Formats: sequence, C-alpha cells, structure tokens
Amino acid sequence: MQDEQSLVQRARQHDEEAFAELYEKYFDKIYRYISLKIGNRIEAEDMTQQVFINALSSISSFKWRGLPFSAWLFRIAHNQVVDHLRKKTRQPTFSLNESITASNDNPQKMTEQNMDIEQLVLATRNLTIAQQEVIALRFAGELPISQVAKIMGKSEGAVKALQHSAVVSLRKILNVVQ
Amino acid sequence: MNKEFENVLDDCLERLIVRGETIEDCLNAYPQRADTLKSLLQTALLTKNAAGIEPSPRFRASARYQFRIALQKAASSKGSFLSVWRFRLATALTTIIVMLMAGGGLVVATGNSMPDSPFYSVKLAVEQMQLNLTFSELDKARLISEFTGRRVSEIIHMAQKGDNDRVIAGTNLLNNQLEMIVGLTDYTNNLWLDGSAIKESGQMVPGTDRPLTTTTGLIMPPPLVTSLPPSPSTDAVFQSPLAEENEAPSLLTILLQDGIDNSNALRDSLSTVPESTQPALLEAIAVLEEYYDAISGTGD
Repeated sequence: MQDEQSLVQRARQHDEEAFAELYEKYFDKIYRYISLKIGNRIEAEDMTQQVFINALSSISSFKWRGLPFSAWLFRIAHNQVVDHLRKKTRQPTFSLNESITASNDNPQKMTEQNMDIEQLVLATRNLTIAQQEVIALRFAGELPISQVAKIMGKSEGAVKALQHSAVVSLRKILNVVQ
Repeated sequence: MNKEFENVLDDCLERLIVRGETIEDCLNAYPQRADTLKSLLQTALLTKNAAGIEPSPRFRASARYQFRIALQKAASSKGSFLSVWRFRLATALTTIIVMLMAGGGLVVATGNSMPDSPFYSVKLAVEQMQLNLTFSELDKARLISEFTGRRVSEIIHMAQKGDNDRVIAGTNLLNNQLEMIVGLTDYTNNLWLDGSAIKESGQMVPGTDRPLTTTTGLIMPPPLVTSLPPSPSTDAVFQSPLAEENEAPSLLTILLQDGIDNSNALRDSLSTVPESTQPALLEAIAVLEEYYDAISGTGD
C-alpha cells in the first residue's frame, strides 16, 4: 500500500511513468468490472479507456483520506457505468447462449463445467443491484471486502451479508450441484 | 450464527479469489462447515473464472497507446516542463548527432548495424528521430512497420549467433513497435481494423464473409493468411475508388504484407539457428503473429 501511495503521489505531480504503472496495475480489473456490469465487450472497451482518461484529468483532486486509489478508480468506473445504463435501457448485447437463456425454466446443472461471461452476465441480472455490485467488485475487480465496503459506502459486515446472499442466489440460478 | 458463517465464507472467497487456493483448502480449514460451503465455493469458482476475461491484444495495445498520448498531453498542458524539456532535448541531440554523422557517411553504416555492434544505439536513435520528425499517424505506422522488418533481421542474426539474451531483447523491442502500430492504426480511426464497427452495407469482400464497407466507408481488408501472398484479386479490392479516397487500405496492405514477410523470414530461419535459441525465436514468431492477427481482425 505504501508503494501505491507513493506512486499516486508521483502521479498527482504529473509523473507519467507513475501513472502508467497505476494504469497497468488496474487496467484488466477495471475492464472486467465494466464488462460484467454492462455485458457488452465493445462498450466495455470504450468505457475502460474513458475511466483512465477521467482519472488522469482528475488525479490532482485525489486525496487519500482513508480511501485507497483503487476505491477511487472503481468509483469513477461505477459512476460511468451508472451514467451509461441510465442513458440506455436496452439489455446486454453479448451474443446469448440459448441454453442459458432457457436456464430459468429448465435450469442447467453446473458442477465442474465452465461458465462464460455471457452466462454470468445473464445470471447476475437476477440479483439485486447491491448484490450485482458486490459480485462485480469482488470477483471481476478482485477487491478485498474492506475496499468494496468503502466504494459502496457500507460496513464490511453489510457487504459480507450481501456477498453471502449473492452467492446463494447465484447457486440457485445456476443450479450448482455438489 | 449467520454473521459467523458470512465471515467464514468471506475468508474462503479471499483464499479462492486473491490467494489462488483451492476449494479443498477452504473445506479443510472449516471441516464443520464443509457441507454448506462446498456448493457456494463451487459457485464462487465458476463466477471467478467467468469474470476473469482478458482484454483482446488489439484493445490492450490500442488503449495503452492512446493513454500514453493522453498522458503526454496532460503533462505538457499542466506544465510538466521536465517531460517536454526531455523530449525536446532528445530530439535536438539526435538531430545534431545524425547531421554530424551524415557528413561522414556513418548513417549508412549504422543502418545495417546489429544489436552487438557499437553503432546499434545510434541506429535506434536515428529511427526515433525519424519518428519524431514524422507527423502523420499513418506515416508513422508505415515507418514503424519498416522498422519491424529490421528488428526481425536483427533477431534472426542474433539467433544464428546463439545470443539468446539479444534475441529476447529484440523481441521486446519488436513487441513495443507492434503495439505502437496497432495503437496508431486505431488512433487514426481506421475502424476497419475492428470487426465490431462494421456497418451492414450488403456488399461483401470477395471470397470472405466480411462486409465491404464499415462505418467509416473504408474497404474491409481480406483476412491475413500468413502462408500465402496476397492474390491479384486482393489488390483489386484495395484499388477501388473508395480506396483511392482513403489512405487506410493501402496502409493495411503494407502492414499485412510486412507481417507476412516478417513471419516467413522468422519461420524460414528456424532451421538455421542453434537449438539453444529456437525457443526464443519461436516466442518472437508468436509475438509477431499475435499482433498481425489483431491487425487483420482474426485475433479477437
């Protein structure tokens, strides 16, 4: 964390290399988070780029105050996703796998088999907004529970409860069997 | 009770997501909860794997390049004098060096120098200066594509000499230049590089299932086939009136032809290098072909 703090400090002073390092560290995570939230690869690419451009333009206003850089960056991504979804109401445009589209009526049993991102996007649509956010931040963003709590403005206990209920719901939706 | 289980589940998820431990590790840590935990952790593992998608190499390279440009713009507009000063000094110094060498005919000598030559750093400096003095993004892409041919020759030369380290260093340099090409071609809004931008025009590229025009009205290129040279019919596609109006298709032809030439050169050299450098050479081939797949739209 100390390393990241000094990187952010340098980035705030317009050190290109420091910002480039932060970019490399979070690029994949932000891309995954946005992909899962909006379910469209092309739009996720555009928005991922925009997140970093926005971060670059507002880095000088970033202050630690107990909020880690990753939480600040994911906040930017979250706000962008919310704006995007507000502007457009249509459903995710990943090519939908028919067997999964039908899974609500005739659940496909999943154990060792793989699930792809399209299937996950569809499954998460059945969760509450808060549960979706926890899954996206925790599994796509790979953030620890403490940071998820800070980004969502909730206590760690509340996020753990949401995480629990989200995984239970996903298990039912995906019909995971032992 | 519920809170306690939520803590246990969170600990297991931390192990699974962040530390890369297995479900069995978690179950062994909490044997009394194993029955309840198992299906939840299986769900979590499925979720983790599905969410772990990778950005395509084309997007990664293009985004990185555009971010670098934004960084440089931000640095110069916000008064990062160090960065601007460094750039100007480097350009001025390289120009002076090249002008001095040109008088002695050294530019020609450095042009053929290999990575183990004392003139090699001058060769790279000259290339950088050429790039600095090239203002069109399309011309830059062409120039860098030309440089990739030199990198390939250097990689082959060093592989034949059994110098593994320099083959790897050359591959890194090649990788950077290929990333720049992908970034530059995307930067110039040549959306024909991205199949997603295709508009349904009804017309198709001969011999393919790809539409002829894109949202920019540019001609779609044929897919890259590394084992075959472009056919005359391919050229005909590029020489349509639309192609004359836009530089992009001819640029793509050049990039793809360079890709084929470079790939063939590396593959041909495989049998001529010592066994010790063959893995590094294969890595160079993989790097090269991945990027040309990205450019041709077959890599995503």
